[in-house]
Amino acid sequence: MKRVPKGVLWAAAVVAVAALAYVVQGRLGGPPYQFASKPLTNLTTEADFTLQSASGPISLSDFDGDVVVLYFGYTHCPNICPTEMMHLAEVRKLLPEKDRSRVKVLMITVDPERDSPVTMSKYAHAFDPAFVGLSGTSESIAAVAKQFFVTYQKTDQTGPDQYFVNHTSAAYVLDTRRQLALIYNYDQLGSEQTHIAQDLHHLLLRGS
Amino acid sequence: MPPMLSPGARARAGGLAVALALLTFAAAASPPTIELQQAWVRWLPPTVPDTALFGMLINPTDHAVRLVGGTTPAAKRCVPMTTVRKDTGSASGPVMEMVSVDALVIPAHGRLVLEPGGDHLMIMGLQKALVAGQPMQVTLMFEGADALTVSVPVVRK
Repeated sequence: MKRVPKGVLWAAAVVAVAALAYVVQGRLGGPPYQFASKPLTNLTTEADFTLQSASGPISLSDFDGDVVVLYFGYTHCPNICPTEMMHLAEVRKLLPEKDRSRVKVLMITVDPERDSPVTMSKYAHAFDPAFVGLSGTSESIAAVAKQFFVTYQKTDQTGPDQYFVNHTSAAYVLDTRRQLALIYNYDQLGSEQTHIAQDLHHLLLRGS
Repeated sequence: MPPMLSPGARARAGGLAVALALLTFAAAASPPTIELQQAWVRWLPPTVPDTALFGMLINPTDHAVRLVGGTTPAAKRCVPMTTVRKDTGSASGPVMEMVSVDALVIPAHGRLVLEPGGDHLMIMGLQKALVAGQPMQVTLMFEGADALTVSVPVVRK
């Protein structure tokens, strides 16, 4: 019989010990996973809303079992909003393929006057075909924004139908039970995409 | 070109001629003026009528120069803008407020970075949809320096 080289035996032993350590650590809990954002444990209410997409009304509860990322912005913003949408598209690309269909990115307009559901849909799709763009009445948008402590305000008009909308710039992550779990600010979205992708993966694992 | 020169020598002579021509041009041209490096215009979906120019403006002169605006055949107007972060004190993060300004200043022997989330030249009222990869001609207007016309790529980033 052929002798197995010593190196292979050692390698097998190392793998076995590492696997055992991994299992034991998992059983005992191990160090808790460190999210890029502070987990929001004090907010336990289930969020919900219904807004308009290009293909009809969409409710947050339609995505139960998925992780949902919410971004509030507007399409006439050439500076902050597209930057964050591109970063979110990059985060989604970094996810393992099996997670991708279970992470839903919804962009909600804070400028419902100019952003129709169709405009929002086209805009969101341009960054990632799986992104969902949502609009609604001014009242319904205000109610949703309030749920997430989003503030926004129209600036003075600089021309006919020309104005900016100043708004908070965070992205909100809801876990598989529609509870607000994480918030990322503008800087984190720009610099911590790998960590954010891991966070989303972790939320999916926790929820399944 | 003398016919007896080898191809290598001919290339060298050609290079020398170009270098001399450039030197002569540089000597004859007006004093050093503003340079735009790593410039790009942001691609945005066709539903958006505005975009912005980013890059780095270099001022080799002894005095501060002000970027006061610009023109482009691709849009109605170009406006210098700055971004003001206003902390809300809440988890929702700061409000990033876009503010139009009369001018953005490029310090003497210094630079001005135009970047997303910061200062930029907003390009408003696009005449047609942006195509990633295609150049856009933009003329930057300054106070304290000659206007600068550049061809800037439209980039999806």
